[in-house]
Amino acid sequence: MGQRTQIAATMLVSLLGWAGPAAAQPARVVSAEVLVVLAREEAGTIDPALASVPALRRPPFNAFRSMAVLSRPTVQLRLNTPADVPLPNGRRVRLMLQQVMPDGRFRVRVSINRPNLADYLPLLQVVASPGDPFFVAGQNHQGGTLVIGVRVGQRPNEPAAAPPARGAKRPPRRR
Amino acid sequence: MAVAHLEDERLQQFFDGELPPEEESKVRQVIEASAEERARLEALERLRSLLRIAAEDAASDLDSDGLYGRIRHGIDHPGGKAIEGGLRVVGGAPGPVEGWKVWIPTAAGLAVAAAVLLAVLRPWEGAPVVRSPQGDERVEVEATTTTVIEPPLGSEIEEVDFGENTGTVFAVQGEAGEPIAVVWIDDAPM
Repeated sequence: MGQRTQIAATMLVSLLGWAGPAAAQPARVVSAEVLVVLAREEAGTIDPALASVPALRRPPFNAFRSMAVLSRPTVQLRLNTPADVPLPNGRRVRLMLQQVMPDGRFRVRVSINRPNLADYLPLLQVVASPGDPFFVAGQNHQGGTLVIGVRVGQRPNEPAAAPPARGAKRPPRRR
Repeated sequence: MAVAHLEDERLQQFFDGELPPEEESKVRQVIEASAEERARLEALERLRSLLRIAAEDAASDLDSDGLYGRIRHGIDHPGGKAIEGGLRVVGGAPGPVEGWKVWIPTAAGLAVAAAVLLAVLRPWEGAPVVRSPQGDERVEVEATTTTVIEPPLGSEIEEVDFGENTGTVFAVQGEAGEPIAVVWIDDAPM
């Protein structure tokens, strides 16, 4: 009994000691995709690249009858390091990864401003699951409305790949 | 300087990312200021990892055929005492450690580790306690399965400051019905 107990205890201690440093560390660099769309109420076409963004087909976005993807840059987010993405209206959207939460979601701070001017959107703090977007919409631009979508990270089992070219179709994501 | 002691529930909520930002910031400060609190947080991380590892090992690494063979070998080992059905109980003074003597404690150790971790991470509240005719208290535990916990889908707004503008925060449904956060700024024409 004593010998078995010692063996079991040794195994447990070894397992605990091994598990400590091997504990999964959250990613410190995360890829984020910024989707900049110009939406108009006038009849037109919906950019095929938006087929993989079902949220844009729901109210109130479905009031827009034409949508064009103006840009779709990808940035690498590092903890507490701002990353800027220029917008077509001269402003820039600033993203900052604030935290990778223990459950894998990302806490992100967003602001929109123009250099040397007062912030347009001083602060937006969002918690998002990997690969699930959030949107900032409403800026007037060229007779339409800018819709900015941000996706941080990738959904599990979603193959890592370079961002698709503008107009390219992407397979629907399923869980 | 006295450092505030975090309650278990609060630390667990911080670990699970369930605290609001302000509260989380306070807890983080306490943790950063206290080696004891950091150690408690690290222990939670180790326990979660250990639980996952133990479950994976128990499911995949255990060579049940080999274990059975070793047990048979031990049963059939000469010098044992015969019992019904031809089985033998190995007796006498302990000799060199045989293979099955390592496997059984190993499996038992993994099982104990998994049970301890489950008890720490998810206390079995409400588990029925029954009393045998002999008066022994036993906890009835149904067959358990390994569950991979995934983060909730979608996105949500925690805080927004529209500055000099006004705006609205709402959610639309995503592909699987998950909430997708939307911030709509009431923009004045440029």
